[in-house]
Amino acid sequence: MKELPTGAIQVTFPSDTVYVHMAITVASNAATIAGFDKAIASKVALATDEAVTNVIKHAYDGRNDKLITLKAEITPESLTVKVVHTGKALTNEDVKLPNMEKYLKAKKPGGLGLYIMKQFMDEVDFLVGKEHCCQMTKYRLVDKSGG
Amino acid sequence: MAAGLEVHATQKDEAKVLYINGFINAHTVQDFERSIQSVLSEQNYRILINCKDLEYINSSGLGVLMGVIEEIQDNNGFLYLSDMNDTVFNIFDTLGFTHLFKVFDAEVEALDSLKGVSDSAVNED
Repeated sequence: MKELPTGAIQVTFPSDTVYVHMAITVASNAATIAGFDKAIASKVALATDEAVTNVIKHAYDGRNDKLITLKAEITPESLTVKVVHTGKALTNEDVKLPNMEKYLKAKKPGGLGLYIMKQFMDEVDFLVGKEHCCQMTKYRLVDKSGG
Repeated sequence: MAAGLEVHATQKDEAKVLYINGFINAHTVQDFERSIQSVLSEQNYRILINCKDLEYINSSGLGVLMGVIEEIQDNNGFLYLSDMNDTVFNIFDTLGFTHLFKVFDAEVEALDSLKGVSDSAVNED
């Protein structure tokens, strides 16, 4: 049987929304290399889009002159995507997910990014340090988001 | 239009049909919103978005749809979607947006569903 590849890549880019599509292409390709099918690679890509966009909009307040590093680490068990920045930190305690039933009734725009990340990845953690990091993991044998 | 998104609108039967080509994310969402607002400003409240060439949509784009649905419903209109790829359908389905927006497999099915529709509201709450 063909052995699944392992390894890590990283790319650093300016905090400008023009680079978001490039970032999700990297994440999607990493998911494919890690052995995930197209449907799961798309979920990894969307979660990465939301994570990078959150950093640009909230951690860096929309400034496009900062840096973001995207890391993708493939292990025998999982793919971990890390979005690293030096802007305002978000902690796990800060994360408030919407009640989707109420959200849809209220027809209120916005606030879905973190929900998408949590739905499409198996684990999402916000790490605070010298550099801050949104760390999202997809396990090879688990897909809780359906589809 | 910014690189990454093109929107083309045309009138077909009862609906203004928007053809979306590319992806809707934080970089392109303003163009998407402008296109929708342009249609609404002409008092077209019967809108079908054909997603055949929509690569993906993120939460910014979904926010635009949420932001206009009430105005459309208040004007007895509808916002239908069709021809979604698996990626786009999956995000709508996961978030429950398929309960708020009527989704058709194909544009022709959406247009067929409108035949004989009166001026009364056709959106489903």
